[in-house]
Amino acid sequence: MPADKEGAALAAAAEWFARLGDDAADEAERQRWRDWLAADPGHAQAWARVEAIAQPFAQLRAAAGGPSGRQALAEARRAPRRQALRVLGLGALALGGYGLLGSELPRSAYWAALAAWRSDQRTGIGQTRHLELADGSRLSLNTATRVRIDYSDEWRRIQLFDGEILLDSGIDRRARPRPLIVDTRHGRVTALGTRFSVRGDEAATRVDVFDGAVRIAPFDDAGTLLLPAGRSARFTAARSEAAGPAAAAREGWADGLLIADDLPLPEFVAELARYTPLRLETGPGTAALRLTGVYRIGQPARDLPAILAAIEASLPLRADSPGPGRVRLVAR
Amino acid sequence: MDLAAASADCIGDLYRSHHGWLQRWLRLHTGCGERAADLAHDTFLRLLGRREARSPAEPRAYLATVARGLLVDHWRRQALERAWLEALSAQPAALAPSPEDRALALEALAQIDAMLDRLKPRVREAFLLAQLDGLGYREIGQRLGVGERMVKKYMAEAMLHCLMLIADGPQTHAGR
Repeated sequence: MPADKEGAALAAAAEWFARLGDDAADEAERQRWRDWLAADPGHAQAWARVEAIAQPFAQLRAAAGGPSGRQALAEARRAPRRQALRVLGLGALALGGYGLLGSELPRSAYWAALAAWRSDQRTGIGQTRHLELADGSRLSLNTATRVRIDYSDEWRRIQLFDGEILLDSGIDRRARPRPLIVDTRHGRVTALGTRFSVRGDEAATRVDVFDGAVRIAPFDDAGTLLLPAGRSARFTAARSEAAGPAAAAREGWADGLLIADDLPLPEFVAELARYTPLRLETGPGTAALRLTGVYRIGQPARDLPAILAAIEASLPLRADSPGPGRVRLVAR
Repeated sequence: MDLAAASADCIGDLYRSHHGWLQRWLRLHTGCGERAADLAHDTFLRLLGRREARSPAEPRAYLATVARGLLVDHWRRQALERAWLEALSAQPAALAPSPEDRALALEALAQIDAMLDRLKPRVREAFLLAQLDGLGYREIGQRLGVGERMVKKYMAEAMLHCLMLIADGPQTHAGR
């Protein structure tokens, strides 16, 4: 059967389905439908497909009553999932749709889907949160952070999707102790009795160790890096590299402190910007300035003006607002 | 050698060389040996369904992209199952389905979810109200604030959408 004729038969079948589905459809209508069915073998074929599509609905109604199924379908489609699909830039059918079609996902899209569907703890911009986990480990979440806490028989795992965490590992009292690990999109950090922070963005993951040690295993690299207390490292999926001493700032945030230890101004401003929806900028001639200080950032909305005032007092700078939602530090 | 045989042969090579690696990779990502074994199996089944005679240039990267897609499908199904069990728990216990019915219903839910995914929300809602709640067009129209004729149009649109999906589905691809 030529494709256009098949298409026309399918369109007619869908139309008949819509007409017969209403309570108002009468016997005369049904007779016209039977006439249409008999008129061409292609019509009967098209109708068989309509029945195939109606089948899962009938199955669901028979098993449990349809309304609960409809609720479940609506619930499962809510925000996180839509968000996942938007991030992926794909409709779900391109994702596979339960074996209807093939599915292939690149790593970045996979990670986005994972974050949207599986994250179970999150903080907004400017929030921090402290949690105690089942094994006594203490987990702090910094601003704009999403994680999943995944404790199973096999491991104690925290998946870090966005933002930054500080972890004080507890002792697993099971007969066969499970490893404590942090996964980012770039690789795996395994705790070896320890206090450490992990911060991940698109480009790389940074780890600072304050106590004990961790082992870093980038997902695409066969080698691992053993990182002792007092050191930090950066890694991508391909490789890891040492990045100098562990920074006090990387644990200070858990106590509500923003620590600048002789930091270039643009770096400090980038750090500060993580805690506020405002856009922070630096003006020309300020890049060479350096800043040393400890600032309270427990409640960003309250603390931000004080921090800006403190910077104005210690550096030849002035904060102005070039437009709504923007703050700019310019040379005085 | 025909295409299907060449394809099976190529999958066989892939399987022998990389099945162990894929299973370890999946275990690394799921933390469950059993699930990893299932998903590795499904990955190769998916490849068999494709009937590609050429072996991929980077077999492990290729296997990983397919496996990631299956993992995402797997979570999506879990999300559906959770939502469904929650909806069920709000019903009287007498209506609780048997384990067999549950499995069937879940499969049906997954199919429906995939089929209706790209429909406009109103069309989808109208279709589900008719097919799952058994409402007539008049009542659906009242709920959605549109006339009965519009509801009928939605029904035809949703059904045609599903019909086209089947028409574009695996049967057609297999012939290429």
